[in-house]
Amino acid sequence: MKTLPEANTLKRIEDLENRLAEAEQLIDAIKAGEVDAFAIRSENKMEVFTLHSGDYAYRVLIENFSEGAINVTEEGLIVYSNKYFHELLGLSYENVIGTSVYEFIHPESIASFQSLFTAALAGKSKGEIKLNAASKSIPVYISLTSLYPKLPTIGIIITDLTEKKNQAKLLEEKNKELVRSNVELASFSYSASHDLQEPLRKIQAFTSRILQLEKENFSASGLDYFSRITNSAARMQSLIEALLSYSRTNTSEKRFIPTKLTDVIEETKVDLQEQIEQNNAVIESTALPVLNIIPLQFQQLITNVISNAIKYRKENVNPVIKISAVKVSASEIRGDVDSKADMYWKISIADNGIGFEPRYAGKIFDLFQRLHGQNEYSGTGIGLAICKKIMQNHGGIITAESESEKGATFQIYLPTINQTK
Amino acid sequence: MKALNILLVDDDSDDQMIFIDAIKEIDHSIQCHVVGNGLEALLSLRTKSPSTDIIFLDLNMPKMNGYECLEEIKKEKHLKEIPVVIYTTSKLEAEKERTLQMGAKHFLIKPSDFSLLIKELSRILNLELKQD
Repeated sequence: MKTLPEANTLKRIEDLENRLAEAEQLIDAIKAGEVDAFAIRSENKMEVFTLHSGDYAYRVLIENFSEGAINVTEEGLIVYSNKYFHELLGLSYENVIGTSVYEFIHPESIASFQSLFTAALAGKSKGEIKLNAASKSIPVYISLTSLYPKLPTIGIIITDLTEKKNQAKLLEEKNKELVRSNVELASFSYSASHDLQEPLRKIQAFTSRILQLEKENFSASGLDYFSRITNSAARMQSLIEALLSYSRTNTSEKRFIPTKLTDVIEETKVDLQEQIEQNNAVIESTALPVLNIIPLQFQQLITNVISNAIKYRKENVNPVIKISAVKVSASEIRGDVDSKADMYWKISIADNGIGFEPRYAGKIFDLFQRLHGQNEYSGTGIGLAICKKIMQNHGGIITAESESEKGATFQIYLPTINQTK
Repeated sequence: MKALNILLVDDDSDDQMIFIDAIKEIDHSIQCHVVGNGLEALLSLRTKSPSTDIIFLDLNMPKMNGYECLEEIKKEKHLKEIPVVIYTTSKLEAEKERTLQMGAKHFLIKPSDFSLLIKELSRILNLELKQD
């Protein structure tokens, strides 16, 4: 075997050392994530190896992302698009790559896209624009990030807002419809009850006229039938008036004014003076707060509850009504309230009357719901429904609890903070 | 004393009947002339105005409503001094204020009780007669 010359051996060692250094550099670069791919010359041709292990996961994620992702040069040429983006535009990958991004921007949005793009060259930017696809425009939210200095490009994430916009539009339409039908309903019930009064008034006018002229000519039973007619007409009138007042609760002004609850109670006592005196009723109250309320409506609520407390008194027991107020947290309320308030005033109005069976506690606030026959207690079944509506207008709730023959307690929950609607 | 002349402007025949009955009850000598809308009222007033002492005017009527009729009456020199009583079913405070501002003297809500109507009409007629 021949021995190689020493010089050759040294050359070979140096060559190997260089290649080792180069390989180590490459490994360091791969470790640091500075290399996406590298080319190796083998058998006189270059072969490109991409680092599958390094970015495989990210590529798959981006490809299957349910948002658009593109990479754009600073001139605006698209150099990468994920599947979602070109499918959003209804185009193939080939039709998107190498095309100017401006081709896909809706003419209305060109200016805003330009300013977002310029801003992104210096870092990041985001905003809403419209894309131009075939025959339709697509509302999107875009988020741009400069990839400088590693790459002279800008990465853009595109979120399709079509669904969201459609839903918002639908919601807006539904809301408008709701407002419209509420207004219609309010004006319908107002004019219906107003117009119902007309023929009734005539029935009353003519019956009173007949009674005045012909009373002596009636037989005893004829007079009895006639008084039943006039009583029915009077009852219908009170029903219609109550309905009118119920519908006005919807339409009247809803302006909140800080008001002393004591003043409301005093005003109620004046309103109900006759009823209070006739029944020897006593109304007691502890220290009461100032409430942010719609004064006339709240006044009516208190009047209705106190008037009920006196009406449904026990025979031979003078009515005593106790009013108190405490602050409670929202979690104490049983029932749904519109308001998101944390704290509520709980105003309790307790009486010593006949009360009602617990199973009726929710029902009594329904329209036309009555627990007693007309012969026992007269009434329209609208008073407490008005109370319920008034508390809804205040973002609060009214509840009641009772047991038969053990008096009733009404609780009024009012948010401590009320925004003027 | 000359007999009082009343003009009732109301399209509702039932209300016309109730009104005339009530007036006859108060004083049989009172003359009550009835028309069905604002246009007829103006026509009647322009031809017979010197003899009309007081006008009872409904608000809701066809062809010409009470507001328009009141406005026309107050525009005409020889009509504007005739007292106008609004005679309506409307219980709206805003309508009362509006018509009083336009020059109406009284606002009478059509009562459902006949004797109450007589009482109210007597009160108004007394007031207007004393002023004469």
